[in-house]
Amino acid sequence: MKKFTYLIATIFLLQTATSSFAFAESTPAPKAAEPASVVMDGETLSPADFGISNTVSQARFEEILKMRDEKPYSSMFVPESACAGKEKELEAFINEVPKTDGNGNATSEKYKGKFNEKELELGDRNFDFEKIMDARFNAQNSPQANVCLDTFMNMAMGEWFGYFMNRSKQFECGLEFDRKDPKKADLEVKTNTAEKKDTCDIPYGDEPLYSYYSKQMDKLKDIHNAYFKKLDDERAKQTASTTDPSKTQADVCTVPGGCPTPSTEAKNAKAIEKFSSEWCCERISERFEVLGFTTMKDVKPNERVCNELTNKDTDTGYCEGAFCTKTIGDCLKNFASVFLRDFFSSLVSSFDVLGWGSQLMTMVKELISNPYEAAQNIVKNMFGFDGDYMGCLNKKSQSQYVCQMIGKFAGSSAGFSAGLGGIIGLARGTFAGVAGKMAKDPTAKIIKPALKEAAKSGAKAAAAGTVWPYYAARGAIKGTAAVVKGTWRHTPFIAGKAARVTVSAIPEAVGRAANMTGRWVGKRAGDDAAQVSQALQNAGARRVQRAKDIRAGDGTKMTSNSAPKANAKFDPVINQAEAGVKALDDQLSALKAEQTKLMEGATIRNGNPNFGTNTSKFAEFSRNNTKINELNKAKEAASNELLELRKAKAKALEQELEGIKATSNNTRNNFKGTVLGVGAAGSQYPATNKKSDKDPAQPAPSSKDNVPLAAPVQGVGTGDGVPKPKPTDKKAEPPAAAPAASAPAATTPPPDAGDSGPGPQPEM
Amino acid sequence: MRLIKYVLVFGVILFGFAFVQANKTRNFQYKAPANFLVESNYFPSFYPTTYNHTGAEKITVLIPPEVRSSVGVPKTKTGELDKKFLQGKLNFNQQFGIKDWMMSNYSFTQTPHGERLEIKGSYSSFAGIKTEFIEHHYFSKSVMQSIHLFYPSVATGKVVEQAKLSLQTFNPNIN
Repeated sequence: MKKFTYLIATIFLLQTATSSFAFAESTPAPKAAEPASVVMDGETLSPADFGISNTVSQARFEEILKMRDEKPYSSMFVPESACAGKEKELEAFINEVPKTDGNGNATSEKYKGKFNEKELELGDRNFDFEKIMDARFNAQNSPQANVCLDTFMNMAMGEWFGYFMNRSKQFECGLEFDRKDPKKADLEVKTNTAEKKDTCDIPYGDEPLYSYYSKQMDKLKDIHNAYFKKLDDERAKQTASTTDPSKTQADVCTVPGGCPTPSTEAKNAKAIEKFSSEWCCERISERFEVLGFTTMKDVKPNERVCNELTNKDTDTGYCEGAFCTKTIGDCLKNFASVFLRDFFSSLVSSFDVLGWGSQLMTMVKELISNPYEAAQNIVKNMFGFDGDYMGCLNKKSQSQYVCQMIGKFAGSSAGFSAGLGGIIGLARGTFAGVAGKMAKDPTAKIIKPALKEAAKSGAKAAAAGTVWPYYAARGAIKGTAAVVKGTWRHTPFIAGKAARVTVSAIPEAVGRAANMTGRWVGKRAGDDAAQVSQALQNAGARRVQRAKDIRAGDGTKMTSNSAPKANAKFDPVINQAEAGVKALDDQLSALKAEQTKLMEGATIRNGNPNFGTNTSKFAEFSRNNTKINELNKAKEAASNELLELRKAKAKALEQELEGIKATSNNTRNNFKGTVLGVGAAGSQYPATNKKSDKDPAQPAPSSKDNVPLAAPVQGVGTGDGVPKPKPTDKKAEPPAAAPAASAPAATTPPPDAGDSGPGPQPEM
Repeated sequence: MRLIKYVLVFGVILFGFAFVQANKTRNFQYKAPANFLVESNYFPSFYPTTYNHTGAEKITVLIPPEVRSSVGVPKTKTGELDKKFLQGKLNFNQQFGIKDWMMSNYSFTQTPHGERLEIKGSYSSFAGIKTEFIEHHYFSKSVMQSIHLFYPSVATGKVVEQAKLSLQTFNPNIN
């Protein structure tokens, strides 16, 4: 039995070792890109101005901008955006409204506009602007959340500005948005009398169309002004805080006559900057296990690990360890070989499969030429992980990650292809939520029959299937190694995992732990650790006090207003605890160096140093050893404390998120709301155009021939927001020649009224 | 225990068989132009044979393993390219994020090696570079064998011309 085991193990190991030689040397890593920017109307704009991470390459930035013209909402959710992955969260801000029949009357059917449908259809989405603003001006928001909500708000308002400008132009209403003061964002609705024609006087609901549009535009204006007023207030608050005496001299404005207030763009840039580093760590932490960086549930990376994963400055582009071959390109080729094997060993019985397979070479070509970019695509398309993570990771980590995924993929998918229907089916089982996506994809429909063919017939197909022990064993061996490595690497965190306590309990528990640790360190480690001991005790005492404070207050205070304060409290304590750990580390290093020095000239006996007759050296060595052991224990305790603190901080951040969710759950009934009446405007302006007041017998608007229907798209998006004209014998048609309305000069809405694209970018 | 032993023996035998299958020499003949190097490849039956130009231009010739096919030439009765074949390609592109893929031309030709389908076109590489491609697919009754040439649109001159001409030296040996 042993012989067989050895034989198989030897074969697999040999194969594993030689497999990376199967392919040629990989291409060198591309150079770091210059910061991206575009010039629009003579102004240089950075990605941050569009809610996009500043780390994107120029080419990618231009691609996103191009996409913005074609698919404005999709561009908002690209991986590099602050809104990435928040589609569902933001979709909660779109109201579900009743569908309307051809006459503008509500039906029992409901409609909810979506981001990915009719992106360029103006007025298709019924936004709850009040809810958006509530969410936006929540004090617990992270800068990144604010950047996203600002982008979203601008996009949403832009859609409706575009809609009304378009309608006003179409019906020759002469209604325009204009700035009250060119230097301020505040808008007003003006009527350009020269442009106003009687085509806009057609009856609409219970009033003339002109009056209706005027009111609606007023509401939109009010939303816009309220939003920018709040932004200004927020900015003023932030500016005021810089005069806080606790701030350093460098933070305080000393320019006579006052300092310019930072623009929203600048603030966004700052937030995005944060989004690039801390944000990345947060995102990676959220899915540390799912991404395969660890096998331990709930394990989060510490700062050092995060830095290793994301720091591009120290990136060599090569990874080491389990699942790693030299570069990402090699792993991709292994991946390709798994995929190609399944295809080329199959019996193709349809042209679409044949065409599909003939494109595989294009992928291979890309794997060879552009491994990192190809990796991003494959990880996104095959494993369902968007480019967020890949963009955050440095090249070394990308290699490690991709290699790991592919290692698992190869290990689990091979063999199944011949027997049970192919990698798609297997992937579905193995990568449940992830590759389940694949199974729904047209590709699966194409390749699956081919793989079934492979399963059914042919010696070659069988041969291909029997390669599985190689892949499976390789996956298993490397998987085990990864588990071992992961366990080892994250040992300090495993202990912390047990502490699942409430937010209020964490600081107290941690405080007590810190107190005890401090005392323990002071007692056991002697004078060297006195400083650390004091620091830990102080931190602990503060935390116990804080826990008492929290318990003294009510729960809502904790979840709504006190979280930022809690964060503010956490940071210094965390820093202190980190300093404590670092101090312990330094001591350990010093002691270890001393031990190494002591061991010079000594011999090793039974795994221990033998100093011969030099008893003083032996005594010193033993003393140091004891000290090292004690310091190690202290360090472990301090690390646990640090972990608890970070957890507590993470919990506080979660509270922020919950705060946003709680806000977004506060859904308003929109049944009779107007286009804008469901949001802020709705609360300020009662809906006057009640549907029940409509007279179905009233004749249709037909004061002019060839007048188009005023309603935007029947039954879509606006609900009964824009009432439809009453039924008529004569169907309304588009105007023969609508005179062009003058573009609103220096107004916030988009210059092209008919374009729902980027939306307004108000001067801030 | 005995059962495990048999299973393991069986596994090793099958593995060896598969390894031999994967390593077996390919039948095609192709004369690569000067300054093109072939990548080492231990699994020519599963992984395409690749020739890369040694210069700065990323010119690549790929010869994938042959495909066993029961459908024949993707040609309609009127001599046009079957739309399903094209649709399969488009589906692939959608799946793997290959952008701006465009077929500029195609033709069917009878050659001594079987009927050949030539497809020319371009796409945007993942790095955003416009890349031209030429595919030659040869069809026999039960097998399709292909050769693919890729080069950046900006690459011109002798190297590209030689690479294009070299496609004519390809003999799939599928009859």
